[in-house]
Amino acid sequence: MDSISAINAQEQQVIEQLVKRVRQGDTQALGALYDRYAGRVYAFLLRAVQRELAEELLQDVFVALWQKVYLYDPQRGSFNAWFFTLVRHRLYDALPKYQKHQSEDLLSVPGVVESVAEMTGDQSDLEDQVIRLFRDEELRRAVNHLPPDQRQTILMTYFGGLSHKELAEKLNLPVSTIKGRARLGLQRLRQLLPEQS
Amino acid sequence: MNCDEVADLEENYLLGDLKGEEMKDFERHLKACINCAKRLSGYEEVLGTLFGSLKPVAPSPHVRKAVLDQVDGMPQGPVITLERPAPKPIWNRFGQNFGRILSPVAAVLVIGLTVATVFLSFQLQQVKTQQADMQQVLDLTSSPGSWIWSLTQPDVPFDSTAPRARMYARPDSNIYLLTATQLQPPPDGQVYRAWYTMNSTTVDYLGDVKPDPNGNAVLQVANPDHRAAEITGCFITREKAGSPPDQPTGPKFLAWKKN
Ligand SMILES: [Zn+2]
Repeated sequence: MDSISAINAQEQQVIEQLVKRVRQGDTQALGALYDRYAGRVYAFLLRAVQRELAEELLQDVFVALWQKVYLYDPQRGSFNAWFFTLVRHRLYDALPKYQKHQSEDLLSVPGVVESVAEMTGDQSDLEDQVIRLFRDEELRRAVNHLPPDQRQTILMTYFGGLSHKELAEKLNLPVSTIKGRARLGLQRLRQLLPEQS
Repeated sequence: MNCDEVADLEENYLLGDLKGEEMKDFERHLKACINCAKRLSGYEEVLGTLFGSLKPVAPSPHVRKAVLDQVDGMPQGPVITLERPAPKPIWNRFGQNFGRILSPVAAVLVIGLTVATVFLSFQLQQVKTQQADMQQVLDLTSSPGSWIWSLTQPDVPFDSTAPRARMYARPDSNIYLLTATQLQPPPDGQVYRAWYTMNSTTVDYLGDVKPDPNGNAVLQVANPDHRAAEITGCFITREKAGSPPDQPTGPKFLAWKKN
């Protein structure tokens, strides 16, 4: 059974060990976690902000991981879930300052230009985006299985650095509609994705 | 914040779009409500799985070095035992004659006091808190201007082994601190909840009190509006785990009331 779950379970064990060592103040273990995660965190950040800030935030995220790792409770969920929440929160903390500093229209931020162009595109553009974004075949199928408006909302907000309000403005829809799509998308994905270990 | 309000804000929370008091209220509800916490963590798992599968992009190598340089010697968030000077043992202060001079009744009293002192210092030493908050805790617990309210079991004679709690407060402090000791784990399906009464009328939720395996618990709560002077009572109840912390329903397990 070469499913995501099996790989996840194995990977999860290694991660838990590293996290344990980071909690004990082991900087080498932090380096090892960095090697495992930095590429994904950076890929995520680049969808929302420019290279320079993405690298700054990347550093900030791993320093925050060092400081806050004691808050992670393996009983309550996977490290991926906890860590990605931390990453999203750091990004959204930094975005207003960044946008003010840049005093540019949001549309001039690279990741977002691309995203907004894709929003107006057809179905195949969205599918392309999923293929470019995610590695696992099983997971790509699950995301592509979502109704297009839900898929778009998840990709633009959780993976595109847009707030619900910003996406609502771009699409000329009420914020409540966007939030509803985000929720339905997550609920649907929860059913579509393989069971977590 | 109730379950409906939490449901309404959960997408914002997941996105990292909640700030300040709203965020604190939200997280307080999650700590107390299993239903909402479960639903949220289900969504977080979905997002975590997607995140885990992102195609990596290599950042410049200098970032790794910058991270490791920055954390080198940097203290990690939590769990710092609050160091307090140990109280002088009472028997030294009384000198060598203490056994002969004091009657057995007084000896019992002294032993009771000693036990209480040891428990107090034990409680304080058990106070664990984030390093950034440590000074606030020290200020609150060591300042002569702080109020220390003892919460005991109502209508029960003094018993040195009984559970007890203390609430530390001061109008100008940014936190309240509640410590408990000798607290047995709550019965299955129940949690200990702390509440406080303002101006003898409104009752507010302070937080859940979770004893560690030694029966000690520390609850640190933000006091941003500095209304400690209006507190007229503080008590702990046992409530159904996962129920929304709107109002106490169980009887007062430990309580303090202003005279
Ligand atoms: Zn709830």
